[in-house]
Amino acid sequence: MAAESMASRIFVAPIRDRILSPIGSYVGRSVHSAGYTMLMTCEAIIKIPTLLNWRNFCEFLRQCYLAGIQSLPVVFLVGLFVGMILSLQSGLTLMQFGLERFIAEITGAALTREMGPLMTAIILTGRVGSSMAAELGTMSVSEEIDALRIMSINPVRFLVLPRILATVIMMVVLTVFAILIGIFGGALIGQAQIGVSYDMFFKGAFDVITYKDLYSGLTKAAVFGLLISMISCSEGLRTTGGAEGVGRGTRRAVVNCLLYIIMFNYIMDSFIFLFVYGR
Amino acid sequence: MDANGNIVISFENAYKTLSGRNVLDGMTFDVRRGETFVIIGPSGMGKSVTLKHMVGLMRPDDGEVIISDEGEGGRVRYDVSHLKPIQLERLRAIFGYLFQDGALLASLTVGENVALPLFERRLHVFREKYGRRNAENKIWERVREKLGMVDMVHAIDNLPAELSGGMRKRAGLARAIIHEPKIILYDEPTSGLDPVMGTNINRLIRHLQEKLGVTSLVVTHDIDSAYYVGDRIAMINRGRMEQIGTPDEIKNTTNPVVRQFIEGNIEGPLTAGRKH
Repeated sequence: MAAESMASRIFVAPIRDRILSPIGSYVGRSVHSAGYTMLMTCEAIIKIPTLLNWRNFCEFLRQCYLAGIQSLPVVFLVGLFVGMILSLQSGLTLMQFGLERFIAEITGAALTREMGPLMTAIILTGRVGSSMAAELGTMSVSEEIDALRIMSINPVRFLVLPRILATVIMMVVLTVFAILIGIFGGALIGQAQIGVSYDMFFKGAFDVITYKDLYSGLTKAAVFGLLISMISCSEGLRTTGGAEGVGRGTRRAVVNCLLYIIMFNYIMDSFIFLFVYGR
Repeated sequence: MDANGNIVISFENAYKTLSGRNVLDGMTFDVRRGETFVIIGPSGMGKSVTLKHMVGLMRPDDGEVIISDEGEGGRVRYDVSHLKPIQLERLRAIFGYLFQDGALLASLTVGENVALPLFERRLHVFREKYGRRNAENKIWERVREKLGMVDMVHAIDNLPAELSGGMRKRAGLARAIIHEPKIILYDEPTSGLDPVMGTNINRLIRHLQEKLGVTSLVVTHDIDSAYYVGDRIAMINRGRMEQIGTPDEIKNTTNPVVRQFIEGNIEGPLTAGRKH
């Protein structure tokens, strides 16, 4: 009996308290968080018709400006340099085989299918997702969300819906912009360092992009926009614990956004290759 | 208990545990129609949590929180533990709530903050009453009237970040009364205000009660304010009511816990076992 009790104290209790209990608690929190985020998003989608109200539509336009127009400079710079890097790297390799004329095709396809949506999503996670989580988090800890509830104003309709819709739409618009700027950046390097003329580069890049590439890339962009806004808003609305809580919530929002973007990128690529390209 | 129809808020043995701590531990009290009921007590003993239960921001783990309202269709009884979303919305329409720091939305001006409940929830009522063209003007008239009551008309176009703590609180009060609620909940209405403005707010609380028959529930640390505005004063300690009485009964109480609190003594049963 005594030996059994000692074994329990030495082996069972530490495993239970230090391993199983934290794992269980983490899984419980994650399931709760995922459930909350999904319900919040469904509620926001159901409330889309409320945007027909002029005041709500104005808030949607304001969010489009914050998420989209204000992100243009950074998307421009990142898009330009990513296009230049793609062109340079592929050019250096293809030059060894005398195939440098194909850098336009590689740059165009890579930007449309992969790099355009992905880099725009990463920029919007840092610029828009973090700011949404911090803003809604600050509103939560300063009782502004409670004040809305008491005034019978649904925070999901009032705060979350315009942000989700604006992020999804602006993500698609910014992705198109990033792809175009990336191709332009690639063309600059093609002309200056690889020896491919502008005409040849633009013709090659735009010829290789098919409708399938375009809509699969833009579908990915829309899904990334949805992920960024729903995760950030959900973290913001669930923030507790003052300034420290806002910091914690913002950090969690950014990390989760990046993780889910990368995971969904792979999952969507698999589906796109299977169902869109039939491979 | 409310057979005479005079009870508007009733807590019956309400329990609430937050982070393993019993914040409400058998809370029982009633608030009568048209009175100003003041709750005093040490910090962290469940005063704000009590207010949040009344508007359904929190629900009791056990016990009952009942709100009664005389509507056009007769008497309506809301059990906060079992409210559907539509009932919750109706319940909240009865209340005005002044938050400790005003809780103004940072992206809106003072005027827009105060007008928000009307534009979001009552615009159709104003349109029916004054027509589509005049509705917005009437709302802004009402906003100026309520801001005037708290001496804040001059700040109508300011953002909350441009205001002092006291001004934010006064703007929050204007927003709490903009829809002319039947019950107003005040969470620390005079904290952070200068004495003159504090007296002004106390008078406004009395004015709303005497002229409009509003029921008020005030949570405060300010004992002088409690004596001035309160018809009855209740002291919360460790999640339950320590004593409920008129201001005179509280002033002359022999309850050692209440005595220590109102006299602000460091030594006593409230602080026994606590490190200073």
